[in-house]
Amino acid sequence: MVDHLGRHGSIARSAEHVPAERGMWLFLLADMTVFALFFGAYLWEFGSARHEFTADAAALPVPVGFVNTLVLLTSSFLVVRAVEAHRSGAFGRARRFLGGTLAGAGTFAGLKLVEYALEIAAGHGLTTSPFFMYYFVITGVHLMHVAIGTTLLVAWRRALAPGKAPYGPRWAEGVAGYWHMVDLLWLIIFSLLYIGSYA
Amino acid sequence: MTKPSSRPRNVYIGLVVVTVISLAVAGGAAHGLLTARVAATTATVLAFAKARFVVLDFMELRHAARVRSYFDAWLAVVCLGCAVLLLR
Repeated sequence: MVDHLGRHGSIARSAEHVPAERGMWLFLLADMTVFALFFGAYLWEFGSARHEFTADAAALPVPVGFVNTLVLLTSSFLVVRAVEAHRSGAFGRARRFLGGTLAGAGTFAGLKLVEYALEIAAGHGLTTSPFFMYYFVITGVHLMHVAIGTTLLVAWRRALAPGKAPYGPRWAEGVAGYWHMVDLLWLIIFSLLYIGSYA
Repeated sequence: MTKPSSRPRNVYIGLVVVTVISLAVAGGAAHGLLTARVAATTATVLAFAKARFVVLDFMELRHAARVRSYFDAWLAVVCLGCAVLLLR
């Protein structure tokens, strides 16, 4: 595999190209494994009190979760386009795609906070029931990842501004990988907490 | 400037379509067409299938065999574990 990399340069990709640094992917897998443990613990208790969990899950606004799924999928797709533009040196185009991604991140966080407000107003909290304990913890930790990803995306976009020295493609690929992990985890969370528990 | 690949766009559209199908599966359970266990497990397997496309085409690991194999193993093990726990 041959990669030609540089802070200002583009990347020459071979058939075996590995985006970002290998250590980055191991870090993402470790982070995802923490979520996998949450999923296992949640489903274990779900199986022990299926009726109670299903009744609580029915209170979740599935349409909001559905819209947030579409928002994250769209933002993830825009990051793919941003990486492509970054590699080809079209930094202005990459900035526009990242602007769209950040709008998606803001929309996701905003809708999530509205959702929390609705649940709390309805009397559901962290200590109300096992379901809502898992709901607030799992989605809360995920929202924290959204915030970290957003910070990285902002740094990437700022470095692409005219007159600034853009980061190299590997750095962009690393940030993109993190954001895709945020998207990937939400796909599973939406399925387990919103669809799977309600069904 | 190189032309953007059409594959990510097609994958994105496919992911949106499968998300809608997942909701329909849950609706099938609500209307008694599927048992709750089967609907939940089907929706979960679909979610992990979507996650694999995110790994292959958004994370661009399709041609990174070794790293991709780690993610494939993670997805297979966690998906299987979730399915078993949902069906028990």
